[in-house]
Amino acid sequence: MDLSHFLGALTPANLAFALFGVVAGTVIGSIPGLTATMAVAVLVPLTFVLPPESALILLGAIYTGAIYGGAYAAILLNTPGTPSAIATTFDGYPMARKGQADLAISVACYASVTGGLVGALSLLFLAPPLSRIALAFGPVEYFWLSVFGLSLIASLSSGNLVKGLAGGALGMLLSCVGIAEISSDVRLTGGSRTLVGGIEVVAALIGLYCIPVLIEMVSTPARHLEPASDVRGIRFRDGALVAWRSKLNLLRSSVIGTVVGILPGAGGSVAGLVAYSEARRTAKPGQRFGEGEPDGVMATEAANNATVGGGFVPTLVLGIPGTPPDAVILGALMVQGVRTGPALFSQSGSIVYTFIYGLLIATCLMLPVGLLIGRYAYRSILHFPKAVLVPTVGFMTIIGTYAIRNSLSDVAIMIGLGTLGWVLGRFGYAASPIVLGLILGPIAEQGFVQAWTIGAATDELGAMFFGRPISLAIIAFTLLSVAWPAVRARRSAIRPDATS
Amino acid sequence: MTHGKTRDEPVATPSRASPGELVVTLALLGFGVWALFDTAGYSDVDSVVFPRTVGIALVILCLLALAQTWWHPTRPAAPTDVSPDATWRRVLLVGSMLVAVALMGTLGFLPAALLAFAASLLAAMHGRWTIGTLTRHALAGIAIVLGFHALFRFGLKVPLP
Repeated sequence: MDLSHFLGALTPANLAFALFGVVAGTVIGSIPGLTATMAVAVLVPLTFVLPPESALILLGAIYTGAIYGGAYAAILLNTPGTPSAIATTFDGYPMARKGQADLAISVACYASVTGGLVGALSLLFLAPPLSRIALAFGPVEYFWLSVFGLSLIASLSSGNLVKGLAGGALGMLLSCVGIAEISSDVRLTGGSRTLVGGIEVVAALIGLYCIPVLIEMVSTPARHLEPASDVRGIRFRDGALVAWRSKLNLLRSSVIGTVVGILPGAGGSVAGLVAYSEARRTAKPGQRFGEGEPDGVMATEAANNATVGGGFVPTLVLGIPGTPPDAVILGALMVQGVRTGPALFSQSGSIVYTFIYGLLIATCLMLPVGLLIGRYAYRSILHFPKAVLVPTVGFMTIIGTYAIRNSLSDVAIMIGLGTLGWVLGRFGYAASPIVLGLILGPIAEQGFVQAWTIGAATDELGAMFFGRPISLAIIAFTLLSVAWPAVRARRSAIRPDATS
Repeated sequence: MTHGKTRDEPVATPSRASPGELVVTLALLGFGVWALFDTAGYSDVDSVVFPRTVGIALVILCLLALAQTWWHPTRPAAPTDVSPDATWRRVLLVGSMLVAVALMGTLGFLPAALLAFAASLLAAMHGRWTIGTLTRHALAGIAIVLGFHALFRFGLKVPLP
């Protein structure tokens, strides 16, 4: 690592690739259904004619831009543009409903840039030691990590824990639909061939989040979003001030995102949920998460963008992709003739370090690009006639869902689940626990069954589930996360002046 | 619901048990019971453990929710600004999307999408129709559908039907 690599990343061509990648990624990521994986995959062929450093910079910039772009739809339409932005809807959309969409977008941008920088710097300075974390995580740790994520249901249940847990269970059952990953059994399809392929997670979350919003929008003549009394559009300084006040949350969420990103298969959605859960647990008195709290948006966005740099750690050092877009990028690297592995940093140092500096530059470029595109997106949604906005968003959900697997069945399932979600929501069954179950169910099942099989084979079932240090730490965090609100309520009851 | 509060979201107001809530909870209970029966037919024990455990949990939770609904009923607060003709608008929106999906295989993506767009436009339009709004909205709709179709088909190489 020396100055020549940094200067290599600063060539006009590489800067142009970084800028193009961030813009293209942000726009693609903002469209519901088009994920970061798709954004990277679609543009991979462009990189075949480029030098490896430039190709990597372009793909990294697209990836980081797409993860940030997912926040727009989450904030403005209650629909995560990418799965990584699921937890952004929890506070982002309520902020938008309160006329603070511009602030939410600015906060999301600052948080994404901070998270992206922490992830990329970790990749630059700590890649080899951090890659050991990926190797230390076995099936049982994944199982407990998913249980930790599921503990968030307790705080997403709108005051009715039983219904929240039932929603989570419904989501986990829906995640079982189709051919089982572990065996070849066809489960919970009711004989329908449409369901054999399973319920696609992105299609499900588009349906569960977006269709209820559309149904509500046609039900009332009121505007979709009320603008603030003085529409400023970008709120550059306000966003910076909010980010500065919550710097601890920002840093903690970025570190969580980096670590979760290192874990193969976990990804931005899990990172966002874990960071949101931690931000909520450590909330200051008076902060109302789930009702438009900027810290909620900040936690999620910092964490999901930090997974970009984190995900590259096992991809480059071990050759194990940390997230799905990393798998696509790994394929592109192989085409370029770059061999990933422990020797990569010494054998192809020029390529790797130039790429990491390029990723840092792309992340910095995301600040002006993100704020400008965010301002445009906000104003467009605000001034778009609702009569045209509804069919436009409806059309985007259809075409975006179809594009995931080129399947009309997915679109029908998306609409069906969305309508079901609207009905359930009317009677107190919130969508978020269902989505949480859908996302974490497969991770929990696979981790549980594999850990059980290994534990039973070695006759150490108890030690397998409760005897490993990382597992015990995650279990402790889970218990703390569930019990903390009660502990804090009790403490503030004893010392009422503490909360005032 | 803690995320994205919508206008007619449930707000805890004491009332008698809502029939709709009972029906929804019973439907979830039925799904849980059906899932338990479904697991009986799996050949591999590894595929049984998780859905059966979750199915049992869903059944227990639904029974608890039923008891809660019966003894401590709550009813969603009456929505304040919902249009009187909201029901047909909702049905038209969801119905048109489903019909469009059904027709895409035979009609092709573009005509079916344009039909769904027009029907959704009708469902979402609360103001008065004039020649001007009709022209503007129709042109905007055609431009949006054609634009996204071009982006996905030619830009992103998605094989649309």
